[in-house]
Amino acid sequence: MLTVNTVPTLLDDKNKVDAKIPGSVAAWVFIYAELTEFGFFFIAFLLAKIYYPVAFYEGPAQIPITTGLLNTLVLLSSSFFVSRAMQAIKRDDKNTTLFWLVLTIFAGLTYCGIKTWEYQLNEQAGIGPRTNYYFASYYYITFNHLLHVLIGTCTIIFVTLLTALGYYNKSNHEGLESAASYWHMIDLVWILIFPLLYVLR
Amino acid sequence: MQNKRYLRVKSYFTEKTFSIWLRLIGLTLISASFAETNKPIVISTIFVCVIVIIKGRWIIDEFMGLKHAAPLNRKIVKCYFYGMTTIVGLTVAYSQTSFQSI
Repeated sequence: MLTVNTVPTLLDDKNKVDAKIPGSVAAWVFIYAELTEFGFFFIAFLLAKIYYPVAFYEGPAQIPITTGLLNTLVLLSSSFFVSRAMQAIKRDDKNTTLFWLVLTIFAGLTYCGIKTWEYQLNEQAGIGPRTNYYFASYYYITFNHLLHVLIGTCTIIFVTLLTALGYYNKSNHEGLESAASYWHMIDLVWILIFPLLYVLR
Repeated sequence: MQNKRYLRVKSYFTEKTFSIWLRLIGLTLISASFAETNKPIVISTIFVCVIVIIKGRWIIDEFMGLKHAAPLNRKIVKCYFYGMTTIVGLTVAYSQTSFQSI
């Protein structure tokens, strides 16, 4: 009977410890602001889609799906790498944390490279931001997302350096967790951008 | 030494985040295949949106680590993502039905 009564108490204590946000409150305010910004982009895109159905119907078929798919796979992998880095720092395993963070940086740079290649392919096909309303929206959203990936990559480089210098450990890793949350937000937004711009017509 | 290395490699592949990552990759490939269809239909839009919601849920819960985080934070992010995906799905489906009727 005593055991039965103590189990919920221990679980409650555990829940209290876990019931906090990953990273700092300031970072989350920034993340919410970014999500709101992308929310407005999506709504603007959908409104334009209603007004110009032909351009938005034909648009996705003209852009290379391969580069969009590759970028999705790269971003999903980068989110996995960051997640593993967070698990490693919580074990106080500095070298493994650095390994996963370096992979994340590599993934971020790969994303930028693929996106540049995609823009070059578009240019060769005679597609630009002024082609029609679909491509204006496409360039506006994807270039904005690319800037966020660049900001995220720079942040990950910064926290990687701090980790290498021994700034983060098992008990103190709020900065690293904030950077990881920001990176996951970038991935989350892309999860919606990919079908919206490349798949759904 | 070899056994220790084997266990370390094995732990990578049996870990939950790895299996989530594999599932995310699989769902992405399935949703990308819908881009190749010549004539988009509403049912495929719904299917793609369901895939997006599942992927988003895994990223929010498992990768972001919000499953055991403060409930308000988790609810805000999930409401945003599910709400936005629903709006996208409804608008695209409306656009498809009205475009096909022209």
